[in-house]
Amino acid sequence: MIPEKNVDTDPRDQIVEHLRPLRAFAISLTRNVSTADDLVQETILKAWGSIDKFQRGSNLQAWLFTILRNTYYSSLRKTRREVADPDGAHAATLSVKPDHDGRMAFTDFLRAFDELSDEHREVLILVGASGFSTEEAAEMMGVAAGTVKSRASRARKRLAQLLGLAEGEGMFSGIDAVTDAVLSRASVPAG
Amino acid sequence: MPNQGSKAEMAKAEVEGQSDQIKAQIEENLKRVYQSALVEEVPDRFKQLLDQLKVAEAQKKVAAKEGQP
Repeated sequence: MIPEKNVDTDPRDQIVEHLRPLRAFAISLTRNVSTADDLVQETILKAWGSIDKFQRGSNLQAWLFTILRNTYYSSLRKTRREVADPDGAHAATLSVKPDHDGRMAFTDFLRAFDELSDEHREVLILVGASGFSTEEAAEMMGVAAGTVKSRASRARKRLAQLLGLAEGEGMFSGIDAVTDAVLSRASVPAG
Repeated sequence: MPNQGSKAEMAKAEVEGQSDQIKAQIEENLKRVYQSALVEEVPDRFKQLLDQLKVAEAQKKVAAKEGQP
């Protein structure tokens, strides 16, 4: 039997093992290394001070990620302009087209990724890139799993749009609005 | 504009052929965003901060023990 509380192991000693993914998440989320490092530092201090709130045996990395993203969002609420549009529709569309062979350059991708809202970057990194499940991401983000799924789908759509891919509309939703618009326009006799 | 119709059709055909490929590329690039941050060396100051916190904690414990009658 596993004792409910193992007094010999302090979860704080394991924080060091999670620094790398924690910082990678911070960099991916903020897209700014110095902001990311400030966040990591604040997260370490908060985690250390409130380790009693960590449920032993649960996922320490997820707990640290949660502290980090909550810290980030509360600092944004204090400082940033109110963004009335978390889906980032206000951002100008970059006209980045894939090469003729269809491959998109990573630098172009990063430019589009940087244009996404924080919420969209977060959901795409958590569920797509860092390997957490939808349920784990939902817990970290403090929302329902369904919200994670719909937000991720909107984020991908927005990303495709920013990449200048007309198929962004149809690729993930099944409705190719842009192509349809072009087609209907083209069917009107020129005059 | 006589060319627009065929252009749109070509675009649509291209869409159907490429959408899976593009979707896969987006996923691949997202992984790369995270992975490229993950391979970066973590600055020493974070490990030092954890060490300092640990030392402070230990000192606090010693002080608490010594404070007992």
